[in-house]
Amino acid sequence: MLKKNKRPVFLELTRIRQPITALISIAHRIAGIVLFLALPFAIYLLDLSLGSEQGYDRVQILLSHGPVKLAVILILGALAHHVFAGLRVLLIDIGIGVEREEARRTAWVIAIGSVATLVMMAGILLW
Amino acid sequence: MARAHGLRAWLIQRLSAVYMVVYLIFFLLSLIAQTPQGFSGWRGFMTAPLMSTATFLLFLLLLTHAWVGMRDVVMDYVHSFKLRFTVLTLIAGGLIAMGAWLLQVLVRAG
Repeated sequence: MLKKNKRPVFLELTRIRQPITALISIAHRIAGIVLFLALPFAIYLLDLSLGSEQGYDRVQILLSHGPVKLAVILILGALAHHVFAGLRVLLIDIGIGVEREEARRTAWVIAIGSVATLVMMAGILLW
Repeated sequence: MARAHGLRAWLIQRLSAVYMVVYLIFFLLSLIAQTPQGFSGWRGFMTAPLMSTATFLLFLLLLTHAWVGMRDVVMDYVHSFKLRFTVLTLIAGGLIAMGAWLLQVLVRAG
C-alpha cells in the first residue's frame, strides 16, 4: 500500500544542510540589507567631507577610531560580497554557470574572493 | 500587468547593478590615477564634471536598486498586510529623504 501523502510538508531550514549556492544567496541578501542600513552613515560622511575643511578633518578623526574602522571594514566586506554575488547572478542571467556543478564552483569562488577582499581591506585600513 | 511589473523590477535591478559596477571601477581607477590630497583636493576630485555627473547618477540608481531589493526582502518575510505597508512606507520615505539629502550635498559642493 502506498503511504498516504500528508501534505503540506514544513521544512525546517535550520536542520537542512544548505548547499554553498543557498548560503551565498542568503549572504547576498543579508549584505544587501547591511548596505541599505549603512547608507545614511555613508551619506553623512560624504556630506561632512565635502561641506567644509573642518568637516573633512572631522571625517579623518572619525575614521581613525577603532570601532568605526571595524564597522567600515565590515561594511566594505559586505559591499565586496554583494558585488561579487551580484556579478555571479548577472553571469547566470546570460547563461554562464547555470549548471549545478558550475554554479557551486562559482559560489565557492565568490565566497573565497569575498573573504580575501575583507582581509585585504582590513590590511589596508589597519596598517 | 503584474508580470510586466515584476519583469521591470528585475530589469531595473540588473541595469542599475551594471552601472554601479562600472562606476566602482571608474572611481577606484580615478583614485589611483590622481589620489586627491586634503579637503580642496577631495572636493575638486568629487566636483569635476564627469565625476559629479557619474556620482549623481550612481546615487539615483543606488536608491532605486535599494528600493527594489528591500521591497523583495519585505515581500518575502513580512506577510501581514498592515505591517508590510508600514515597513515599505518607512523604507520608501527613508530612501526619498536620502535622495534629497544627497542632491543637496552634491549641489552645495559643486
